[in-house]
Amino acid sequence: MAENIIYKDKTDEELVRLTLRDQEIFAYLIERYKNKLIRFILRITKVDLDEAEDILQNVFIKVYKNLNDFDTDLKFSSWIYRITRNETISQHRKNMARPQKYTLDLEDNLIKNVASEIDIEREMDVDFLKDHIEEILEKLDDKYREVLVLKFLEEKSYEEISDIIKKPMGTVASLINRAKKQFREKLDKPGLKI
Amino acid sequence: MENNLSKEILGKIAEEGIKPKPRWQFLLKDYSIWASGVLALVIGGLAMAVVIYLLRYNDWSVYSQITDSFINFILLTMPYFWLLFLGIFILIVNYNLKHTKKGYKYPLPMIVGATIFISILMGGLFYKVGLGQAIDDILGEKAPLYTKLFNRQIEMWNNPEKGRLIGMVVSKDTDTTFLLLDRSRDEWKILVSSTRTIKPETIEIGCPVKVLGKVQGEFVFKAHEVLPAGPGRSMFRHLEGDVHKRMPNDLFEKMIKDPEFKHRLENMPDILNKYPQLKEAMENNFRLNQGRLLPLLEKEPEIKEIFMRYRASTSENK
Repeated sequence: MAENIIYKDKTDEELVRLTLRDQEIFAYLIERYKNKLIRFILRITKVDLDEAEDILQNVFIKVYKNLNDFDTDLKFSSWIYRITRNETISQHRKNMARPQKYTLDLEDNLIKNVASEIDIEREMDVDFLKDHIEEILEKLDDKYREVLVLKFLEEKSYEEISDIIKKPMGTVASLINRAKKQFREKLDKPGLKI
Repeated sequence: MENNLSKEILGKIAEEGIKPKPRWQFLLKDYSIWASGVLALVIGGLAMAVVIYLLRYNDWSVYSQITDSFINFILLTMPYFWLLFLGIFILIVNYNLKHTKKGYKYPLPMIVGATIFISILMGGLFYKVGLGQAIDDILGEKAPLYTKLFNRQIEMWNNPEKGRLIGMVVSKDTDTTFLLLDRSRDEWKILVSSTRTIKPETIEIGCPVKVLGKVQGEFVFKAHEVLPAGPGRSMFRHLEGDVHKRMPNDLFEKMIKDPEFKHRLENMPDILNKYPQLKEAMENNFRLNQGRLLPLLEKEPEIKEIFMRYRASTSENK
């Protein structure tokens, strides 16, 4: 129990160093990130929970194998999100032929966050957004969906997004702007099921 | 998943004996990317040095006598191969930089711009120390497709019907008449227009030159401009033997038997050490003519002894 408390207080970077000496400590990193990452996988691609878990398992194995490649100039969370994104994309390509239905299960504050960033203020629209956000995200181009998810649902900074998707910050900013524009277009589209 | 994922993953790691890859593997990958990037940058810099050298001696002053417009002249004389070569290496540098750990942070135009800027800078430096000319000289002498690939200007100049001729001066009668051997070993009599003032050092025996003018008869060319050959000049090195073959054997014999020559030869090592360029020219002459000189020296043991002493001293110096 005491040991648990000691490791829970450690930073990610410290846990990486300790894991290289004792693989059991890797469990703390897994516990710290598994929920965030499974949610991220479900938000950026069309897989069911079982598949998302398989992807996540591969992610952690890859992270473990590549621990010595972790660059401490980078945040560990950016690094593990990058690996997760890449693994998800490669799995998604393999499974393109069988799209799955997923549920995002978003909290109200995230919906409000998205609404305010996309300039949706009317209460009716916010409610509409809450009901249809999955459907709209699904209709977006992959590259736009992932930056919107990272910015507004995962609440990452521009620099973190740049590190995760390996694009310059300027490119991230313009991707987000274009993604917001496409999101508004899809939201306004009369064909959207209400 | 909530409770078992960590156990499952750690179990798999233990069961399959998975271990973190050693740090040196990642470092080796990073260093390889950097090293090949730097190598590509240096090669690009060398290509740029050749481009600068070719453009610097691109006969800008006589372009109107070669083509009807400046644009046509540029299109005709651009070193396309080297520009393409440079472009390829700039792309390789960009690819490598993008694949370094932090390469993604910089926008592509910035990386391309910086690579071009560094290539120009390095190219300028390499050109300044003579690498552009050295590369062109080596390729001119050794590369089989030199005139088709590396320096198409030679072909452009090898066109007497259009008033352009390139070759090596093999003998000089007066300041206005000389013999020129072209690439096909055809011998041209060049008559320099009396209205032109050509620098006398341009028309030196053994020097490659470019001549502008027109054909006046069978292998007779009336020149109104004679220019040093510049890029591609080493292509004509293989004709050097032809220059020396024109020196008759009896002239060698006379030279060796001349007491004045003996006296000069005794002082030669000191003089040559004082003038390294003269020394190099002498050594080239010896190399080209040793087949004829050595048997003649056998007949003059005294001269041979001084000569061999001199040869030995130059070998030691090397």
